[in-house]
Amino acid sequence: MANAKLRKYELIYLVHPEATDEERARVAGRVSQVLEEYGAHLISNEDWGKRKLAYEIQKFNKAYYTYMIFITKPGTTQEIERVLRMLDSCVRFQTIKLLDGIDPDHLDRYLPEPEAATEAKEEADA
Amino acid sequence: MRNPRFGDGDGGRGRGGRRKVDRFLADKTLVIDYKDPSTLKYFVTERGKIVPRRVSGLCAKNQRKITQAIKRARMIALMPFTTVNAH
Repeated sequence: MANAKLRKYELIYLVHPEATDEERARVAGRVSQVLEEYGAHLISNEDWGKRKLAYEIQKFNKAYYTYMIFITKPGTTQEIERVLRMLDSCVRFQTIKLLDGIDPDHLDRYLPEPEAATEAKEEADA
Repeated sequence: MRNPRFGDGDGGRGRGGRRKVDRFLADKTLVIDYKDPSTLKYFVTERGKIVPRRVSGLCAKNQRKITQAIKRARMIALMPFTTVNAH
């Protein structure tokens, strides 16, 4: 079992609307720390900013949304969720598995290629 | 030959009602995404309930996807569970 299969996930987490920039940075920092520990490959990390909620959460009508996509080993999301649960400024989170059974040897197929690499490949094919 | 038990031949729509087509089959560029409440909102009532397949006109596969997407969107407060409308 040297080559465990990887999985692709997307994670959305909501931060308290009255959180300071430091608190938000702390939540983001903890998440990326876990991702790093588990050797995850981050594909995207979008800040959706403060958005209106469809219903009240903890008496608030707005929250900061962050949306991430990454490829990692099984078990990473449990750790991320454990960490988020401990952070009081994170009010809600949701992880969704997008792909299963990614072979780590062919990982580059699943990662977005940097443009320079794509061009180089095209030249090599020609 | 038509089966007399389902006589009127319009899929059992006895009175009125146009046969709706699955929008996601008609337009391949449309995708079902729980992060996009503006598409999902066509498949819930004003009260926030999921519209049944006989009304939405979706095929079984897409209805399942829509249901899943709406439930996911609800979890992260992109869509309401209910809209509290006191009468």
